[in-house]
Amino acid sequence: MRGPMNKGVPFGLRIPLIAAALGSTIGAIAQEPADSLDFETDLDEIVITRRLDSRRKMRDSAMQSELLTSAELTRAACCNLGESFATNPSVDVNYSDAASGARQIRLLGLPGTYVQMLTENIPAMRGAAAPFGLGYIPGPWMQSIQISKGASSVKNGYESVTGQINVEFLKPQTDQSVAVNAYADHMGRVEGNAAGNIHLSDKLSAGLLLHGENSFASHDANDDGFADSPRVRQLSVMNRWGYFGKNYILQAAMRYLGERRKSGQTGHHAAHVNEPYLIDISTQRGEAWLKNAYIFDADHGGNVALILSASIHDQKSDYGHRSYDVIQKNLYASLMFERNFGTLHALSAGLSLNMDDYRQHYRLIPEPAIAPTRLDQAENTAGAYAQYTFNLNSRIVAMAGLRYDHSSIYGSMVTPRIHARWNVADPLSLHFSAGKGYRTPYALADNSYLLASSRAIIIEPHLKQEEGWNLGGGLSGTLYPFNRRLEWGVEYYYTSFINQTAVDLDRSPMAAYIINLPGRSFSHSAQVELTFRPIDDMNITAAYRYNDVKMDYGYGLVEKPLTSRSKGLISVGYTPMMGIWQFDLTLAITGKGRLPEPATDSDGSPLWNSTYRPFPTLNAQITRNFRHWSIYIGGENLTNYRQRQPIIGADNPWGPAFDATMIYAPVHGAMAYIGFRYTFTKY
Amino acid sequence: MRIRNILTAAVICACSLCAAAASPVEAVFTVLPKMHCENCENKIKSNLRFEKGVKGVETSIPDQKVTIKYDPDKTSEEKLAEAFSKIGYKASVCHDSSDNEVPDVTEK
Repeated sequence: MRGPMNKGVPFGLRIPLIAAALGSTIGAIAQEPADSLDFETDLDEIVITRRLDSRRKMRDSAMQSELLTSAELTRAACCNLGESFATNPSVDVNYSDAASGARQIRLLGLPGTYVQMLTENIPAMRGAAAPFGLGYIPGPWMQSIQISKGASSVKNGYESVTGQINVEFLKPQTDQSVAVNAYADHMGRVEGNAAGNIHLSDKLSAGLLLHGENSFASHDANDDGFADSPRVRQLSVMNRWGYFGKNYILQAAMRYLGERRKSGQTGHHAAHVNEPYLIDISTQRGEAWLKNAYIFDADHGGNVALILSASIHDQKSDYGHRSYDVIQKNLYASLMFERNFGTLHALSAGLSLNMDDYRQHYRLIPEPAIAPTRLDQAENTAGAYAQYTFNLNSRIVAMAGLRYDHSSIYGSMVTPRIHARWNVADPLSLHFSAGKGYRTPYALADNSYLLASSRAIIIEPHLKQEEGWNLGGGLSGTLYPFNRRLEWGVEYYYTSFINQTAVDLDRSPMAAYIINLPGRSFSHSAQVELTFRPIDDMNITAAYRYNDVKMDYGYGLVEKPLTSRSKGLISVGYTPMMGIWQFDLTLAITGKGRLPEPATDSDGSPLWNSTYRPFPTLNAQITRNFRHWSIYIGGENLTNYRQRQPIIGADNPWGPAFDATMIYAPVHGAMAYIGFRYTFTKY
Repeated sequence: MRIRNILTAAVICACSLCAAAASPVEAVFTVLPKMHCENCENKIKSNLRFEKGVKGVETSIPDQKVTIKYDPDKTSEEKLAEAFSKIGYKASVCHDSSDNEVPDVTEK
């Protein structure tokens, strides 16, 4: 029997213990957030920190980061990454259009393209994979999610402007287990997941993750003839390996994903339509990565790590008679050196290489007789970075990083970023960050959702590289009124773009202009948050965020359309009877916002309102935990709020007024779901 | 009158049942290997909570103690120790302060 009784420390714990022992800055391998290790340690002494929650602020880090553990992800259906932020006040997830199901994250009031997405600390969901990428990561595969706001570390590249979101998958080196999960909702969507891992020796372990989903029905609750959500069929499999030797650590994974997504005028409600408008998107994706670390000085966290990653993303999209097909290939390599110098100083330095290749065929004019146009784009970027961290007993933590990159298209880039945190005392912590980020725009890959409209798509010939600064800071702390824990936080971030690629929907209701923004563009985002435990088994989070996002398309500063000015959220979790029961309730109020300049009909009446009003959404879930089982039932959007006219001109999708991209609220109404999880762990 | 009698009988029955149920008692355990992190705590809590008669589980990493509140009519310290062994821990009942010293078996 392998286990703690005869081995001292179980394999599953011992491996991350080794990694954590090498320090928080080890990078390639041990840069994983300490979601399974809520302590700081070195090889000689275990030092326990305080007990933490399923969603926790990482006050030991110079960056403003929070960690969502797997426990937090069981508070809602969380079928995939895009559905995992329902209980989170910082991250919004919006649909890009009302038909294809494409979603994007919003952080600090800005689109997800300015958030660097990472899986296992490797850049992911880039370019063509971004529009549907949030659906590519099944919820039950995730061990944790780490959200960093503002300027991020320079280790992962120059791409983040407003923050980073890193997903850690289930690890093969944890306790051997088999987990199965199934989910079904009343809209006809079913999902199944399976995960298992095995320890082949004391050092070598392997894991297998499987996911399948299918939507069996098309619903059209608003009777506009269009399916409220797409019918998605997805199959995904990942095989991963871990080797943890004394001085050498290796993690490797391979993954395949196949997805077919159909939407538009489908189903019985559109049976009478002679020439239905259909959206059909098929995706084949393969990826593989390898992380190696050689530990040359364990006492000082000294290691050299090499990360290699490759992916190919083949997507064919038809939106009515328009099409966009893309094959995106990516190669990424990163070589890192890290070492602590005494207890106060740590240094990380490295080299990186990124190669992107896009082979695209598109037809923007909705005429099937017109042959698609071919557009090839490629960019190779080589870079180097250095990052210094000062850590005075986790009381004062400061981090300064600088990287230089050279792009084959845009030339040189210099990316400075600094972070500082002062944990004055338990009730008060101050943090500050400033930094720069860059991003290469791919007009069609980034904005393929625009094809779900009749708007002419006009792309400026030479799009500049996007470039922006982010500055932020805040106060936070923990108080104990009435002997009950109260965590509080106030923060503010300012983002300003030097160059930005913008989608101008205001200039004409018949066109979408993808342009180099000629004027200013900025975002102010302020958030206040309280988390309180009124009784032992209850946790209440209340938060409010205000966004002021403005852009100048060349005719004066205007509010960015389809961006809510505020968001309020109250989330209550109650886990009585030692957590055997779990009740979760989240109410979010999304604030008002602006819609692009409306078109007018023959009478001169606007086809849609120029603003939208605040709306509430309510999610609730009840979970019953058994020793190996959990059963959960829940509901999403229980307030049944639906956007009144999600698709403009839905009665004539081949006409000039058709537009499915004017989406700001849920399309489908209240939704009920049920699911179970089974986990057997061998200790 | 009849309803009042029924209610009175029900209240007497409920009180008798409450009186008959033994009040929970506490046992404090030390475990080997030591608890290091929340993962260790969760492993203990999420398994011990399903043992028959267990009413509450509290863990303390600084003290290296697991406090279990249980119904003595339904389980015992021996059965609880057995439950610990199923998840890979050797548990000993902590009777006095001398038991507080737990040898560190962490691999170094």
